[in-house]
Parts: sequence; structure tokens; C-alpha cells
Amino acid sequence: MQPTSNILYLAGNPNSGKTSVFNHLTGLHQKVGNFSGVTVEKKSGITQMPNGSIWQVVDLPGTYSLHPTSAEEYIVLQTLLHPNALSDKHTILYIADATNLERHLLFCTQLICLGYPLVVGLTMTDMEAAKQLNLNTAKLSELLGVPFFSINGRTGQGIEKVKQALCAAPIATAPAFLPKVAGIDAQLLKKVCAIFNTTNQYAAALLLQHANRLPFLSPEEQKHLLELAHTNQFKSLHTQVADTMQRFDKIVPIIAQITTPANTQPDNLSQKIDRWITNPVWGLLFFCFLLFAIFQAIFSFATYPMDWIEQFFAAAQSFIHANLPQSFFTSLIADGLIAGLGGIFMFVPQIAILFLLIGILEETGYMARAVYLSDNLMRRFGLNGRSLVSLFSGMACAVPAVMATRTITNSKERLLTIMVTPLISCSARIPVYTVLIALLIPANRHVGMLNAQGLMMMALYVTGVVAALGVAAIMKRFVNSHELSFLALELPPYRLPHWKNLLLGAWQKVKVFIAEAGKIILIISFLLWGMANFGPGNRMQEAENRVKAQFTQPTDTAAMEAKIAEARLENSWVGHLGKIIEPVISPIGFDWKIGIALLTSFAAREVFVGTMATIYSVGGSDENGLRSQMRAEINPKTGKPVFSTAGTLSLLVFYIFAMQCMSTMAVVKRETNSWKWTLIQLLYMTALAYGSSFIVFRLFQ
Amino acid sequence: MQNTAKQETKTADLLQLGETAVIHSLSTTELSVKLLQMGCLPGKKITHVRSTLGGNPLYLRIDNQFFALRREEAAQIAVLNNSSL
Repeated sequence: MQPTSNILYLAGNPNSGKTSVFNHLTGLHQKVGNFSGVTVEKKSGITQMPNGSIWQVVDLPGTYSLHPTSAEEYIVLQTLLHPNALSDKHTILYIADATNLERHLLFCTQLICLGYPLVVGLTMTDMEAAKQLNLNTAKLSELLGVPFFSINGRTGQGIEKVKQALCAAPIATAPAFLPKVAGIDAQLLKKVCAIFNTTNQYAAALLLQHANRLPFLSPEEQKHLLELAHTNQFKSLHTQVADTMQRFDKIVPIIAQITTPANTQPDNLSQKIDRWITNPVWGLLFFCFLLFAIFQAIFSFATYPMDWIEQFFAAAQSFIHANLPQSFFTSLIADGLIAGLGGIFMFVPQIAILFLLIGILEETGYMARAVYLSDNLMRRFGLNGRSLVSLFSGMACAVPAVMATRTITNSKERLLTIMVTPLISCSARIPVYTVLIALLIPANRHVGMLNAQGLMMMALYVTGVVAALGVAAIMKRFVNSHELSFLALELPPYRLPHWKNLLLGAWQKVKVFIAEAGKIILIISFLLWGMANFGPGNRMQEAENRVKAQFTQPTDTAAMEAKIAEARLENSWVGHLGKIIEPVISPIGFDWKIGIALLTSFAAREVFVGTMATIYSVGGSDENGLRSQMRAEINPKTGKPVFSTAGTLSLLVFYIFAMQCMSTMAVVKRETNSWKWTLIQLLYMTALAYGSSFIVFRLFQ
Repeated sequence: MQNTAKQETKTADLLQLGETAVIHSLSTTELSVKLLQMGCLPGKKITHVRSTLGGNPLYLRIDNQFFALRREEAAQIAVLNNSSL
């Protein structure tokens, strides 16, 4: 592929249809990374132009203007105000909603004033509301000095024309929209221009307005700017308001010139829907119903592909064992690598389905309503309506869920959301819950119409949610923030979701999961494989010989091999570790065998099931066999069953609350950029798990 | 602005359910910069369309767009008092 020297920035307001355009331009040739030094998602991709050249497309976060209020919006300013970006003059494709031009042009005119070559793609021109306006785009192009194209990101209509315009000739820079920067003394701007060796007064104004939040400035430059601002009694907020107002003063008459002042009514259908959906009573009921439906969907739809994946990896494992000679490497590949990969791909169906559903909620515009409905409740717990998206996502996997907190503006609310999201039961806990619930409740027991096992599962999920809210309510007292908490949320008209955006969105989350969580799960799988296959001295071999001596008649080789595996595991490093931690976990009803399973769960919680099968000498993955073995297990110290009601409940509670996931810890460390909060989270979750298990164990004993 | 100075104003969080008023001005805070950018401009009509159980946030219509604003956010917006018109 040719080197990509041409860069195209995609910019625009939220809800402008930018994502559709980006997906149309780049298709599957996109990747999600981070903007350097910060945790804001950077989506970029490549697109081929009609003349054969390859362009890199960077999707900037949606923002209303260059005066930022959130981390995402700061990224847009930092990217576009960066001296290199300004001097390279990369082209911008600005996406604007034709039905709401007044507001969408604000950001556009700011970009023009920064001197970027710019092309505008007008979306939603096929909407009835846009047709009534009779937009005169030719006149608009003339007034602003930039080319306008009517485009449709869903069908791709008009995008080819934009591409042709982009590569035919360099886009000329439009004349500055405002000749003079509003509200700032010209002498002061000249001084700033002199420091930065630029002639662009608007860039100078932005440098002055946002000096303390621009990481590309050297400490001297920053100090210089702040001193200038101080000596000139420069009021950043006043000048931002003045800049915005002056732009609208000029935009409003322009809109009047290029449109027919039709009696445009807002989308009536959306309002009819909202009368029910955002109703204080019906809206909340619908919201609860939706939660339940999503919960059901993850369970029922994901089971089949999950089974296939599990069977596939199990088959691959036995194939390798059967066809390769028994050796160190065979075991490493089959029990380390394949088992680790299986553990990763098992979760893909649930994650894909959940993010597909969340994508539908976001694309249709329902998510904004859900945020509106839940904001009041969330605030009581120190969270924000936007935390809802993360808590939702946490039902699949905490890793993408923690990353989804980036849209929360207030750093305290964002931190609290990150701290409590891992308490939401994720898909890795389901296999553990399933095995333990089966021990506790017979499959055919019903409570009224409902299956008792299903109810128990529901109760575990609810416990996680209640704990998350409770912890947030307590923790909010200990986190200080001087930052503003705000909602100020647009409620866009309802739209049908576009399948391409949904699939690409879900695919991206799956990629994030495989890349972020997957590598850690794999590393830990290897580590655990090593710890389970090696032991101090030659104790593992001695244990194996002892078992072999007991089986004098070689009739039942399967049983013998299962016993050997058990004895080897008991004498391996991880077995010794399990025994070392036994005194710590015996007050909550766990023996060293469960200790081993707790340790191996650190790769991913569902490893618990496989470990249990090995410890209880169940060859293969026979769940019925495992269940009866676990039921029969007697604690030699107490003489009572290990998996009594008390013991099993205690273990279930432990799995709801404990932070047994290295991947989550890694992503929390990265997103909070703080070891302190990562450790606080680990400590509080461990304490909560241990404390609750202790209470539950004592209560039911 | 002399003629408007005489008119009485109130903040938008005090709008009754279903009440419509004209935006007079916005305070100078970080919040108002955000609200301005979203198209909440002086001279536009603002309507309190509906609200949630706790009465917060508010579901507002500004011009032809709809927004969810918390009461504190709506309080940044001064609207002309209808009774003084």
C-alpha cells in the first residue's frame, strides 16, 4: 500500500451523521487507538481517492465548538491548534446537519478562521424538514467561501463527489469568517502572535483562552501566556461568549438569506414517541422492560455460539493431545495457548450481542432519553446519567465499559463510574454462577411461574447493581472535585439505526476486548499453566507415582489419569499457593482447592470451572460429574461438606464482588492514570467480597 | 438594550410545565458557553415540555430542538417574564 501523506480530519457536531460518513469512507479499514498521552479514543482509517491516492481519515470527537468543556472536546482543540497541524494545513471535511444549520455552522466558521482548507458535507438533506427549507447551497458556498456538498453517509450518495473535489486540486483556504477576534484587545493578540511566530489572530486568541489546558505548549510558553493574560486582565469566559455571540450574529442573517422561512415544525413522530417513552411513569417502566430484554438476549442468544466456541477449542485441545507426542511443548500449546485463546473467544458472542444492542439504543436516539430519565437517580449516587452506558456495558465486560466512561465530562463522576463498573456482573461470571447455582437449587424447582435457578441468577445481578450504587454513594464523599458537573444533553429526533454503523461499532468493541483484555488473559494463562505444571522439587512426580501404585490393576485408566492430574495439581506451585492461602480463606468457608480456583480465576473468572474439574478429578468437561463430585466433597478439618448451602452462597457472593480480573485492573490503571485508584479499587472490592462472604457463611451455617 | 432592561426576567428553571418564554440572556459561566454553542441563543423561544419524576432534569424545547437540562443549567438562562409582555 502506498504511504499516506494526505490527512483528512472529519469534524462536526455530535449527532451530525459524522460516524456514518466515516464508516462509509473507511469501511473495515479503520483502527481505534488513543490520542497521544490521553485516554480519548482516536478513530482513524484509510480511504482511496478516485485518482488512486490513499488518504488517512481521522475522526475527531463530535463537538459544538472550539471552546471545549469535556476531555473529548479538548482533544479536538489540542489537535487542531497544534502548531504542526496548523502549519501542515491538513484538509477538514466538516459534516453539518442541513436541518439545523445555524448551530452546525458555528464550529465550521471557527475552523475557517483557523485557516484550514475545508469542505462541508451537508447531511440529512433528504429529510422532510430540510426539503422545506429550500437550501441554496450555491449561495451558502459563496457567502462562506467554502464548497458545500449534499451527502448521505448511509447510502454513500454524494461522497464520491466530495472525494473528487478533495483530490482534484488543493482546497483553497476561505477568507476569515470574522475579520477581527471578538472581545480581545488587538495589541494583546499581536503579542501572542509574536511569541508563536504566527499571523493567525484567531489561533492566538484560542491559545490565550485555553493556555492552561494545552499540553503541546512548553512550560515557558504557558507561563508567558498566563502572564500576558494576567497583566491584561484577560477574561477567558467573557471572550468565549463574545466570540460565540459574534459568530451567531453573522450566521443568523446568512441562514435567513439561503433558506425559505418555512413554518418548520419539529419531528412530530419523535415527540409522540417521547410522550410515552420519557413519561415519568411509563418511561421508567419501559426502561426496566428494556433492561430485562437485553439481559435475556445476552443469555439466550449468546449460549449457542458460546457452546460452539467452547466445543471447538476443546476439540482442538484433544486433537493436539491425541496427535502430538506427550511432551512439554504439546502441553504448553494445548493447555496453555489453546485454553487461553478459548477463554478469550468464549466471551466474544456476549460482547458482540450486547454492544449491538447498545448500538441500537444509541443510533436510534433512545440512549439520550435513558440518560435523561436516569440522571436524577444517578446524581444521588455521585454518578452521571451518562454513567448508564458504562454500567450497561459492564454486563458484557468491564474493559470496554471502563473505556466508555470517556464521555463523562466531570472527572469525579467519571472516576466513580470507573470504580464501581466492575461490580456489575460480567459475562465471565456467568459460567461460575451457573455451576454454583446448580449445586444450590435443583433445576426443576419453580417459584410461582418462574424457574428458581433463573431467579437466583437475577438476584446475583441485582446484588451487583445495588452494590455498585451503594459503593458510589459512599465513595462520593471521599472524592473532591472543583469541576462542574453537567448534563446539557441534546435529545435528537428518533432515527432508524443503520446496520453498517451497528456492525462496525460492535466489531470495534470486540477488537478492543481481544486486544486489551485478550493479551492479559493469554499471559496469565501461560503463567498459570506453568504454575500448575511445575512444582517444588520432584514432589509432583512422587505424587504421581503414589497414585500409580494404588492402581495395581490397570482396568480403569481414565479414573487413574484423573487421579494423577488431581495429585499433580495438588503438589504444583499453584497447589502449594492454594494451601498457603487456606488459613485466610477458611473463615469464609473455602478450602485450599477453592483457593487454587480463586487464584486461577485471575486470568478470567470462568477458569474457575475448568480448575474445579481438574481438582475434583473429573476428566473432560462433564458438568454433571463435576457437580456430584463437588457435592460429595467433605472438608477434612470440619467434617462437613465444602459445598453446603453456606459454602456455596459464600463463594457466589465472593464472585460477585471480588476484583478477579487482571485485564480490568490494567484498563483501570490506564484510564485513571493512577496506581492509587487502581489499588483502592482492588482493596475495597476484596474487602467487600471477603466481608460479605464471611457474613453470608456465618448466617447460613 | 434599554427597552429590554425594563422588562422583568426570570430564570428558565422556573418555567411552568408547558410554559413558553423568550430567552433574554445567559449568565457568563462555563455552562452558558456550552448552552450558547448548543444553540440556546437570546431571542429564541424556550418551552418546558415535560419533566421527570424528581422534577429534574427538564425536557426543554429551544427553537426547534429538544434538550435535557438540569435545573441548575436552566438557571443560567434568563427569560422574559410573560406577565410583563
